Amino acid sequence: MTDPTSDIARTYVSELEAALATAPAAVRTEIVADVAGELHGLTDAEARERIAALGDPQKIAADAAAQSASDAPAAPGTAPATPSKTYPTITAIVLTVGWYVAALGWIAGLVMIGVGDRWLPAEKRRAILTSIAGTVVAILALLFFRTTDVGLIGLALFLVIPLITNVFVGSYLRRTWR
Amino acid sequence: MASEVGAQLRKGVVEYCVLGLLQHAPAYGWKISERLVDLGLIGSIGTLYPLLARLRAQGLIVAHADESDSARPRKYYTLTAEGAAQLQQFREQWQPFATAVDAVTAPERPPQEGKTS
Repeated sequence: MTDPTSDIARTYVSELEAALATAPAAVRTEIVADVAGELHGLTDAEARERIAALGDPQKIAADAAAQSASDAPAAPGTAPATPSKTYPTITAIVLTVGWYVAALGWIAGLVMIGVGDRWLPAEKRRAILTSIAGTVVAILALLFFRTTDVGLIGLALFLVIPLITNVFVGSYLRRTWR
Repeated sequence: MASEVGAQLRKGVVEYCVLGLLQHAPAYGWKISERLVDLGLIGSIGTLYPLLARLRAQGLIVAHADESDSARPRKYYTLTAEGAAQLQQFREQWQPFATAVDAVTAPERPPQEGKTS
C-alpha cells in the first residue's frame, strides 16, 4: 500500500489526533478525517503551507473544547453516553484467541477492526498492521528455528508472539474506542 | 481585553456566518474554516466543527459525502430551508441591532440627539 501523505503531514495529523483526545468523539473524528484528507497527496512544501494556515494542534484542540463546552451547557439528558466497550473487547478476544483457531478467528478479528465505527482510520490501520507484523514475525521465527536444533524455540515464539502482540493491540483498541 | 471583547462578539454571530457562507453553495469543512479564519471570525478549525455539529443537530444544515475524489472524500454541508429561514431572521435583526449599538457606543453624540435627561 503506498501512502502519498508526506511525513510532515502525517506527523501533524497524529499530533492533532493526540491533542483532540478529550474532544467529543464525533468532532475529533471529523476534524482529523478532514485534515488528513486535505493534506493527502500534497508535497512537503504544500503540506507545510496548509499546516501553517491550520495552526497549532493544541490551539485547535483548545478551540474545539471551548466551543463544545459552550454548545452543551450542562444538559444532562443530552450528554453523549460513554460508548459501551463490548465491541472492542470482543474484537480483542477474537483477535487474540482466534489466532489459535486455525488463524481464522484472527482474520475475523482484523475484519472486526476494519468495520468498527468508533476508531479513526489511522487507529484501525495501526492496530491491523501491528497485529499482522506480530504474525509475520511469529511465522518467520517458526520457519527460521525449524531448520535448527532448537526448533522448539521457534514453535514457542510462534505461539507466544501473536499472543503478546494481540493482547497489546486489544488494549489499544479498547482505549481508543470512543 | 480587546481580544476578549472580540471573542464575546463572535460567539453570538459566528453560526449565522456559517449559514451565510453556505447560502449560495454547499461547502466542505476545510473551505468554510479557511474563509472564517481569514475573516477573523473563528480562531481555528477547532472552533468550526463543534459548530457544524450543532447546526446539523438543529437541522439548519445537512452533510453529504462527496466521494468523487476517492483520495479526498469530502463532506459537504448544505443549508436547509430551515437554515435559510433562520439566516433571514438573523439578517432582519442584525441591521437594527448594529445600528442601535453604534448609536449608543459612538464616541460623539450625534447632533440630532440634543435632548438632555
